[in-house]
Amino acid sequence: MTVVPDHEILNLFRSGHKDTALQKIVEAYGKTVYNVALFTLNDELAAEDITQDVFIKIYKGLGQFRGHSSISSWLYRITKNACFDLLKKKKADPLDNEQVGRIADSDRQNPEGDFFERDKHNAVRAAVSKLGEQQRMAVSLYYFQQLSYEEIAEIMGQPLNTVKSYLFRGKKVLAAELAAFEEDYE
Amino acid sequence: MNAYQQDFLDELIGSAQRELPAELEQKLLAIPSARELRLVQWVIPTLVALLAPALWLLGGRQIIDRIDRLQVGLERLILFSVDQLVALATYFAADEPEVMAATVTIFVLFVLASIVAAVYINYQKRGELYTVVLANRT
Repeated sequence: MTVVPDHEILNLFRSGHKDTALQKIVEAYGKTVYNVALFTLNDELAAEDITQDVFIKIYKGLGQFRGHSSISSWLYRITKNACFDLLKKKKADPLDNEQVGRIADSDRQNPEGDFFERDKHNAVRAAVSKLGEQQRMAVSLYYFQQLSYEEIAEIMGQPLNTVKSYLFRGKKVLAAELAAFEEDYE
Repeated sequence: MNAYQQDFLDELIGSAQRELPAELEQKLLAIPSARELRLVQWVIPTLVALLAPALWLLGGRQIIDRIDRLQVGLERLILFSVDQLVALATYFAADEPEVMAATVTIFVLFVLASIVAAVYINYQKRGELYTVVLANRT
């Protein structure tokens, strides 16, 4: 993952090289946005939709971006809002409920992959699905982007101690759920 | 949790990250080249502004919410399916300017059809609700 400084991206965008600016953002954050959405929603198609929406919003808003926070914080805040809006909508609208539980199929991603790897991926997803929505978001930002507790708290709009508690309890649940794989790790 | 367990968890969860699907990456990178996005940005608000009083009378706030969602869907359609839209338009057009006109016409018709569908779905839902209320009364 190559992280380009924010000012460089903004200069590119403002000087008319909008496609290059977006390319840099997609390269740096596309994978994380997709994975955070996938882990929070546990739905492959919804994660793809959210990723598209996030980058359309970023592209449309980059011209007005004032730099009060970093591009990454802004981008993950949009991802968080988009994921939680979708989850809220799914709960409120029975028409959308057919999408719930459309759990990602790892075979589509890696049809000839190693059985053990696939098993491991499925186990991680199953373990993550045991967490609450906010916990899933905090855990995925922590593990996939190695963000600090403070950064996660800022993105999620939650007090630092709440985020610490999400992560502490989340890690505990994950460790218990994934204990079976511990022997293979060495 | 000890350091060993922490490392184990870091590695296991980190390894479960998926690569960004190539098709999705291409779609994301195509966003700036989609000049047609601007079409959505003025066509929908204009239509909604023109039709807002009628839509409000027909369906209230709920219908406006549905149209907000429609805009997101249309943005995606215009961004990622514009080639198919143009291909369809070429069936009706004889030359280049006609293709553009046909594309815009099809798109506007599609938007209008979607708004009609949204109004219809809204009415249908209200009808179901009314039936339930009546059933409860009797």
